[in-house]
Amino acid sequence: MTETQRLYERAKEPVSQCMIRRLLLPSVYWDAPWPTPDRQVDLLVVDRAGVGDVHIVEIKRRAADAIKAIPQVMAIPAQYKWIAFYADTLDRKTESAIAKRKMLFPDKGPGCVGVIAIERTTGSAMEARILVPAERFPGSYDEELQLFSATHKPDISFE
Amino acid sequence: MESVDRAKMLHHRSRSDGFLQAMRVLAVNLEAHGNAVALLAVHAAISLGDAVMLACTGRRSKDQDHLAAVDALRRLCASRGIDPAGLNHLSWLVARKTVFAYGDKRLDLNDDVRRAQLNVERFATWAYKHFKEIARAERSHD
Repeated sequence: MTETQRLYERAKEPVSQCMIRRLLLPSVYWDAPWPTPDRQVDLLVVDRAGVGDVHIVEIKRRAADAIKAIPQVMAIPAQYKWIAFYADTLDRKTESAIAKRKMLFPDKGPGCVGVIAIERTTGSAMEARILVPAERFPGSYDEELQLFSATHKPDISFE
Repeated sequence: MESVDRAKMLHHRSRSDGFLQAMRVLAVNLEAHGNAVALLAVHAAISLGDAVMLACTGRRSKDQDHLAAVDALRRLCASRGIDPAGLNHLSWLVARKTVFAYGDKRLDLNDDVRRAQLNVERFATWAYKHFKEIARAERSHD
């Protein structure tokens, strides 16, 4: 595994903990085939014990790559959509683009892609924090969730 | 669900959410905030139970004895063919409300406080899974 791949894998835990702090007893699935078996999201987080709102997170090592992925993230069905990246890769241009927020909004309708930064704290520990909170996109995914939860076990849950 | 019932349900669920979130914030320092954590767990569970009753029946128990609310939820489960196992967590919390709020005894961090946290998390998880109408309604504070 390359260092970049390892950092990508290690990011899943702090980002999951960040979502757990924000939501209420969510079920967290890593590398989840969502919405169909042929597609995959880095994190699928379902609020309220796995039956509430659907959050998806796309994790990238570099901030610029996360920004580039926003159009694909927008196309994934979920009520809340997030990108996450390592804070130490944030350059001035990307930081300014995030501050302006324009690219976080869809062309039409409600919603805003949320932004999460992963920071290295003491030693090799990591912590994720929200830079821009996601806003709700339209849609209901009850049937998709029912199918998904019948065949997948969460990596983190409160049962 | 009628719109009035829905509004009331969201009010009680939002209250439960607030207690639960506050419990988690305070739980970072259990030594200092153990009493508050335990009592917030009790209130979060009671409010969520009220939200379930409002969502499903349009009514909630106003009895000062919260065990009456547990009985009402047990009857609701029976009428819907739902396994009431999750109500044991609520019963545990309700039975300790007075002790947590006014008792003379110092609370034990494991037997009282951490168990209260665990019980409210398990009760809420059970409630969301069996009464999906309270989980899927849009959050009132969004």
